[in-house]
Amino acid sequence: MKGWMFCMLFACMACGREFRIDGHLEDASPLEGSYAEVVVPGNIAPLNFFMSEEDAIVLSYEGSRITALCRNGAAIPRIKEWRKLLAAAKGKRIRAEHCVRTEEGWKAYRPFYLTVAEEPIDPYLVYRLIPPGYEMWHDMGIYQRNLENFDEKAILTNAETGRNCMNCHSFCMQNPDKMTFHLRAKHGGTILSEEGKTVKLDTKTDRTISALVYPYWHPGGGFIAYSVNDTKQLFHTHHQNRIEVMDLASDIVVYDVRRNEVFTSPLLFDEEVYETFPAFSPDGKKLYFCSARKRSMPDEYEQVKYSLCSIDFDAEKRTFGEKVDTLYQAERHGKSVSFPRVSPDGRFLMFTLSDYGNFSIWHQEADLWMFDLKTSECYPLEALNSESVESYHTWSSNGRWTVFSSRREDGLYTCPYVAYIDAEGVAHKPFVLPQKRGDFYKRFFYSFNVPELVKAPVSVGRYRLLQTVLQDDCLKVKARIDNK
Amino acid sequence: MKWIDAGLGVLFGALLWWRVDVSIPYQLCEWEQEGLFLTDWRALGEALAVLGGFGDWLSGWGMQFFAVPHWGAGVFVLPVCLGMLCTMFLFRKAGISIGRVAVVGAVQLLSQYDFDYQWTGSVCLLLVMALLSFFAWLSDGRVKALCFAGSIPVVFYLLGSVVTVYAVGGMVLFFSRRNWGLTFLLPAVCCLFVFVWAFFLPRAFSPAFYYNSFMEMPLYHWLVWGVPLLLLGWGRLYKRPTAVCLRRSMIITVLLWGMGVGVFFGGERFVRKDSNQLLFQLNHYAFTERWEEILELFSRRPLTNQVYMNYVNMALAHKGVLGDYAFRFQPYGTGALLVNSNNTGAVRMVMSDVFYTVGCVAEAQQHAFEAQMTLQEGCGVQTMIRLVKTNLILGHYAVADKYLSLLERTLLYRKWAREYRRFLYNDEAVEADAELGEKRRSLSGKNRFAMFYGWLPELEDILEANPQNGKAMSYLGLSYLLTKDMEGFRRFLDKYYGTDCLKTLPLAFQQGVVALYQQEKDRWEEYGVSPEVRKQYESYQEALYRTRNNRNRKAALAPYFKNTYWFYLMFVQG
Repeated sequence: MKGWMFCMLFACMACGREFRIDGHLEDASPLEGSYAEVVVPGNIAPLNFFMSEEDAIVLSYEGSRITALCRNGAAIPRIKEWRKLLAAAKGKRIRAEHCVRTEEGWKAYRPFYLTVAEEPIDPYLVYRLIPPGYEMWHDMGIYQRNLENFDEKAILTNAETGRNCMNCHSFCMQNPDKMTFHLRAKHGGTILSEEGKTVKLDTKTDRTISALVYPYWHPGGGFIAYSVNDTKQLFHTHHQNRIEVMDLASDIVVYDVRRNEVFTSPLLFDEEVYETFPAFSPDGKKLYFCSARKRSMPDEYEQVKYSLCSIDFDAEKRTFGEKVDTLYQAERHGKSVSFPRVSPDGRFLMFTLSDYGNFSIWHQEADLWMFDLKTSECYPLEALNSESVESYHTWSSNGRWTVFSSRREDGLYTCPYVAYIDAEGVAHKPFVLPQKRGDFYKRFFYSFNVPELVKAPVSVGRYRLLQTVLQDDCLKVKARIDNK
Repeated sequence: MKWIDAGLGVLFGALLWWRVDVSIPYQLCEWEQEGLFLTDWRALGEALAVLGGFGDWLSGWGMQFFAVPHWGAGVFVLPVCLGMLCTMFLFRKAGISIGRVAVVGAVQLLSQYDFDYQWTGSVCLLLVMALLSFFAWLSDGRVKALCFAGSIPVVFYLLGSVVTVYAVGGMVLFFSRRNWGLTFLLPAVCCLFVFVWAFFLPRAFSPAFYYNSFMEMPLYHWLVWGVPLLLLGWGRLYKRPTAVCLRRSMIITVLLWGMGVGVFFGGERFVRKDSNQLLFQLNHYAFTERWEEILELFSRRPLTNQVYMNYVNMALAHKGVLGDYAFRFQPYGTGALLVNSNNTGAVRMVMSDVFYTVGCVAEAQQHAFEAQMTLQEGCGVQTMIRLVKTNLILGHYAVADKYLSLLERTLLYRKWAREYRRFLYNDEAVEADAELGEKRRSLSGKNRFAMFYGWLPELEDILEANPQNGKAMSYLGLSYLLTKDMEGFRRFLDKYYGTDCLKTLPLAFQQGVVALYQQEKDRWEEYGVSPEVRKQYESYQEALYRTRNNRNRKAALAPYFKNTYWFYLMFVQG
């Protein structure tokens, strides 16, 4: 009741008069830990400032000032005012004052600052929404979210496709017109969408241990590197991680989009080695991947440590280098690498590091690290990491922003976090993807899976995509692999 | 005549109510347990943002009360009864004998009996019938036609595919040759608009819209829409004589209502699956912890199904007598204790129940989550309560908080959720609670891959962590007996007999000792085998000897010894 009265009072005040700060508190705001020195892109939707009901936030830059009252757990500025403020403060710092209602009026904590970056973020984020389950699934879909506002649209949901599983969506250099993803169970296959044309592939060949799994596009768009994996999932009885996903075997192949065939190198196809998570460099001349010695599974699952490796790749000749370089030796450090992702300028490689294994999204200890490809320095991204999982990350096309998955909210449901990475590879404090309602994440029962930044909305028509998904005929992929 | 119809209609409605109450009361409970209706305004807002969401929201209000004894059945048949009233009005407008609504009502209720058909479909059908009745009551033909046509997209958006009945029924009812543009063309254009809008949506114009999206809808559900529409059409096309003999009318009326009764009772046995009813009943008893009733249920009928055996053994465990009476219900194999996994919600839920009973909390959580994934809405009260408890036990307070927040938005479980809030971030409270505390004490410090080597090592881990866990003790000992692993049973006795939780052996274990040490009677003494068990064994031995040449030895011995472990050991395939 009291809360409503305050809200009404504030609403009246907001309508009729300017918000007035009546006094200041010397204490640091409880928000400082989460928001002080956060860097935001100029084109992001209004941030969610999580605070107590009846509190407010005042954001100002030079003459401009906006206020937002906390509703449903967060103060969210109005979109128009926010955009104006960000546009005015581009490249500069916004002053933020967290205000609390007292008997003497509004009192502000010690101010803190947010920086508005010069560089914008890619305006769309594509992700899969799925409950954080074990083996079975219910609703899931691939969605795209406009980061400049709160609009979210489904690209495809499994309600339209017989409740199957859709996964591993991937784009070529943040280009929404070049997309691939897999379908499992009903209408199984791999969908390839290029410039509005779609095709469904049957990627299982007699030379590979499975259909194609984790994808990564070559920057030229003519190839997609995939892993092939024989994966097993087991569940812990008493462990901080609920689930353990392990490979019993894995290899890497490259799919030639024009010729509809896969090829590889013996250095990526070793029976005694688990090779997985391929990622091309932005110039397309190197293929990074993770590699671990084969172990007796599942007994030795904790001893599987993936190193970060690379091999040269010649797109014109379709050939690989003669040797594999190891950038991060897992067994020496006692850790394991997954999801290598190179920044668009080719300077940095971000990866997830965990104690063992490769399916790091289920590892509470998983953190994000950076490898400086120029200096070979390797360091944790302390600003991004928490006590819980940080994993699956994507770069923006200008290389200044990353979006990654984290379970820090409650240890189970993954949320997407946005962070600025400066030219020196230093990560700045992240913020959670803003939502329209302050209590969204508390009431949302899906995980944001595989966030991928794209430069524009996915353009392939829904009808065409659905038609392709539902068709029974698949284009069979050929394998040009010598199993010696 | 209308009083006769009214009287027969009331009787018919009462008969339906009674029949639902006695034939599928636990199916209603299952629907309630598998749903999670949120009563706040936010939920309404979210419902209105989705096609057909308003119909779902409205029906959710009613479904909350399905588990209320007797009244739940009344709520369940309400759309049928009220729908019949509206249909009577429409039939009268179309010049059809209103006794025919009995068949319409019967067919609709038969459709509702299908567990995979959402009650929402009936609620939405009632609403469109009510809307058509309202428009039929309007005298101004132009207003009627315009409002009807204009409401087609609205009905589609709010209620879903039942717009097919609405649009076709309205066009049939209101069609006028003179104003064919208003009464046919305009609604047809609105229908086209809806058709284009919903082009991508599967099941957008079929009763399958209200059917479990994981399943294929049987064709008979089309009768619910087809029968009233065909009757309306027939009524508009066929001119009947105005003067009819009263006596003849009465006979026809009674026959029509009788036909409705006949259709319903005749069709009911085909659509009601009795095996499912028993499973729903067991699940409901387990959910409400009515263990005695589970045992009473099977005191009168044989146990033929391992899933049922799981419930019975769980009930025995909760009553602390599993070790005594396990063989009273003739189990076979360890599947009787823990059924083999499959991807049905029923099996996953009973597995969660069993794991929770013994204290395998991580597995209980896993299977509750999997059971949840099979639910139509992806979320249910029963699974959610289990997930709250398992997360509290495991100390995952933030996740438990999230689930409690959801339950606090329901009408019937918000009190429970508020009470359980006291456990959040309060280890002391969790450990002091009889249920949660016992389970937390049973958490083993050892980690394994769940069920990778079967559950015996996990039960042993639980007992190592919490030697007081009598249920785990019973399950462990029985697992050895049911698999006839006498060496394992011997190790079990060596390790646990004489400890706090196994100071004396229950009946089945004593029988196991006798079987294990048949020739070593001093061991019987050592394990405290009672004189009654010894005497019974002697009788068994004598009976074995007497029937040594009997080809039907098993059948001869069963009446006297089928409840013993010795009989199981000798004759039952695990």
